[in-house]
Amino acid sequence: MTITCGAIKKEGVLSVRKRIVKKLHHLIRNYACKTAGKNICPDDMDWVQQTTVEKYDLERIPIEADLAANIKRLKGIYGVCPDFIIRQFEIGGGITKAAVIFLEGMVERVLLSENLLKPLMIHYRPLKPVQGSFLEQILRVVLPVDVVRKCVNLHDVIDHVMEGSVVLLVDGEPRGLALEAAGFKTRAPEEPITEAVVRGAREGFTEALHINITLLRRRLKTPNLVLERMVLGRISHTQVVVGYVRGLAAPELVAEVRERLQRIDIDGILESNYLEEMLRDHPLSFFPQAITTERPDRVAANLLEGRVAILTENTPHALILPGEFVAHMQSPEDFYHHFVLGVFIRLLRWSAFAVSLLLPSIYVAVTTFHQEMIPTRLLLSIVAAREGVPFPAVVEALLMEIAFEILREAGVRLPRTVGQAVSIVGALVIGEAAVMAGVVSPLMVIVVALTGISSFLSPSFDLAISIRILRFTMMILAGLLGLFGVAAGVLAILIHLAGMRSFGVPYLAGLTPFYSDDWKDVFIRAPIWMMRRRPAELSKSNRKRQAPGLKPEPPDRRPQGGRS
Amino acid sequence: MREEGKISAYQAMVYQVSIVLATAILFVPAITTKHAKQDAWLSVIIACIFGCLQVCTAVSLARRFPNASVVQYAPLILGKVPGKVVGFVYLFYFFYVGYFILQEFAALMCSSYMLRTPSVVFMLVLSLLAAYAAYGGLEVICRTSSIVLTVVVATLVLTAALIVKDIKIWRFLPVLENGFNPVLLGAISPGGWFGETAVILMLYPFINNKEKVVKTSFLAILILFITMEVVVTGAIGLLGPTETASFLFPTFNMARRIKLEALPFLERLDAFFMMVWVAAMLIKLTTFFFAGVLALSQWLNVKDYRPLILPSMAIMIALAVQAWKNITELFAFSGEVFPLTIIFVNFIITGFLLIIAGIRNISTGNT
Repeated sequence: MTITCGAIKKEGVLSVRKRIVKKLHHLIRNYACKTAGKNICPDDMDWVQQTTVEKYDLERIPIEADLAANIKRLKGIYGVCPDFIIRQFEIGGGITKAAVIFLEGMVERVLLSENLLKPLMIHYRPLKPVQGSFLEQILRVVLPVDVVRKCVNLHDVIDHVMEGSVVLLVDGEPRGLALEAAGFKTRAPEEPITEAVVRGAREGFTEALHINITLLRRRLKTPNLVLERMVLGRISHTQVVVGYVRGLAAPELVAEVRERLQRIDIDGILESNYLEEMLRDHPLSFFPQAITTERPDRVAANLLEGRVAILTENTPHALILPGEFVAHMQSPEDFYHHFVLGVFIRLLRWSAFAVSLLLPSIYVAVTTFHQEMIPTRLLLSIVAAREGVPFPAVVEALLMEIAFEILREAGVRLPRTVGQAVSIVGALVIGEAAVMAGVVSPLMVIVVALTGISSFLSPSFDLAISIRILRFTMMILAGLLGLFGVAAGVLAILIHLAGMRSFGVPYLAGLTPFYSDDWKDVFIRAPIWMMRRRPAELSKSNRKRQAPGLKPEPPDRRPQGGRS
Repeated sequence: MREEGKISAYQAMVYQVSIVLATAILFVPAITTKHAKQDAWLSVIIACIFGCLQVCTAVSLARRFPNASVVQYAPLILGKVPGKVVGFVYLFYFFYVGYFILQEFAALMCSSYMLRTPSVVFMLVLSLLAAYAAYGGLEVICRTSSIVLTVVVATLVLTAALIVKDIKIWRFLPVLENGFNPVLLGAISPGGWFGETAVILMLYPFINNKEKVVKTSFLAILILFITMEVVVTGAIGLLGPTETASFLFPTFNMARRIKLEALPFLERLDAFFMMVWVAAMLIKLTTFFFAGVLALSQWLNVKDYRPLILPSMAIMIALAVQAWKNITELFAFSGEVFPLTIIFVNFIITGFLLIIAGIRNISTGNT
């Protein structure tokens, strides 16, 4: 009896919820109808002065056969924008009227005049009457342009013009042609400043999406490199490309990325961090959940592991998903030098990670709570150095760390010309003078400097940021509870990390659960011929990376095919 | 079963090891040595055999009911009311050990490291961390503990390596000075600790490769055996049986005794040892606490255990604060009462359930 009651009650709750959802849907639809029903008169474009022009408004305005009417509407929409150009001309010396529409600065001008205007205006010969419209004929015979798209309504026209195409409208034709002639100024690929390498490619992504795609294509020459285009941002109309290698990236992962991207409905996307913050599994966590990089080789390497990359227009920073913790400790350069160096650098990097998180707090804890740990002679010099310092160690550490952060932030924003002066003053004032004045102890300066330098060893700037912030929490914990506080803080971070996932992959994948193959690429970097498998959590179905037994050997020691 | 997730048999093994390790390495040397003197290492071997027996019992009971925990199927075996009573014994056992651990931890911190800090602070910090981990669920606990366990074992190995040169073999002589009885007596308490691996009764439904559980459970016993043996032989070989028995926490004294002429900064590392031990203690508390809250939710037929976390945590802290007057009482308790109670739950009740289930031939899965 009680069970049925419960069931009915549950049913009731569900139906109420359903009704509310229905009501909401109804309201939304009504709202859409209202905006759609606004008085759009295509011939009198005054309405565009009062309201924003939406996609669905434009889609309802078809291209008319009358060229003048089309031009009037377009002029109405663009108003007096100086870069919006409509060039009217006559095809073949008076056969018919036509116009090209483009944005100045977005198109290659030479291409426009040589491949479009010249054939139509000067070299045009009347065509034999064959089937198909006039537009199709000139497309087939006259225009030497490679990529051409059809436009049927004003939205198509404007969309293509905005992308840098030239739209050709011909009088008497209720359609237009969008001819691709994009040619805006872009930066050439150069070495990324934040990810410089000693050995390895010196190319980095630029702000232009098509260049970035090319950089990627050149590294993975396979039809299985799938690039899916999306346009996000209501106003910015930013192109976003999702890239992955078919057969390596798990289909569920790709579907999840696609779905989360499609959910994004925002006015503008100016940098890939807009996407990252919208895509995260744990939006409030300090820790980065996607790898950001400017290096195409890093993207290619990660695609080969079965990850998904997101390239965003107008930023050189690509996102790589999922970005679990271990991936942030790997640098592409680990693989470009001898593996022994790779091993060494990896170990160094992990220790630097620990130092940059823990050194100030351990210093505070040891000097405040656990003096017995310090060897006597060192203790004596610490005591001597701290003699005149008026603050407890934790305040001293916090002061110095904050001073360091100020210097660091100033260093980023400073104009180059005064940079040197400020850094000298900063270093002298913070280091030398503060010690001389007895505000801080010299040992503290060493600790802070070492911590600061260590934090630059992290190949991921995002991870370094989270460590920078957590360092202060750890110092306060150390000041309160000594090494116990430090241990508690580390454990809290560990539990937090263990509870996180990045696109279905546990954030600590690679560390735990234990897979011996994965460990070849965590604390060490095994020789390339040993890395036979892809990360276990990423590529579940296709894990084999290379043929077995690739370890190179001189010919007389090879087990088979030896000459002896 | 979204919130509990699925774990592999090896993760369950990590859970089983974590649930024993932290307190075992701390208390076993003193308690065992008190009875068995220099033969304590023999006690550990006997305890290990006893532990195998207990884990056998637990696993064979668990395999009869692959999709439920002991709290859920105890009523099936014994009938409704007695089953619920037995279920309560199990769940109380988890909380009981939980607040015992809390008090143990706080007592150690207060007596050895931070003399003037009130013990509630340590209990509160540790239990809040445990609650945080329990909110994360079984997978989170397993991942955390596998990392912590690696660090703990590495530290133990390092400690052992640093003191091995000071171990004197003559401290283990004469063997069996007082006959075999003290050795048996000394085996009771580590035997009880080995029995804590019976937590597999709670974990079994969440393991996805159940066929490996027998193997991994014995592996867990083996790992525990080795670590306990290292700690016991290390303590006796370094400090001698009399001294080991007189210390409250000989393992810490062992870490304190590390002495290297060439590397003076590696001396007196016991504070770092403490950090590692805090981590081990946390996972021990978390594993018991999680098992307890899970058992409680199953006992009460609550769908999600998470709302029970904070209330039961509060009760646990309150119990821990009032249960023992001072560290001597606690220590006596942990040596004499505690092992017997956990053996009662892990071996006697579990064995009893197994026998009844066997007689009545109840099982829900293919054994």
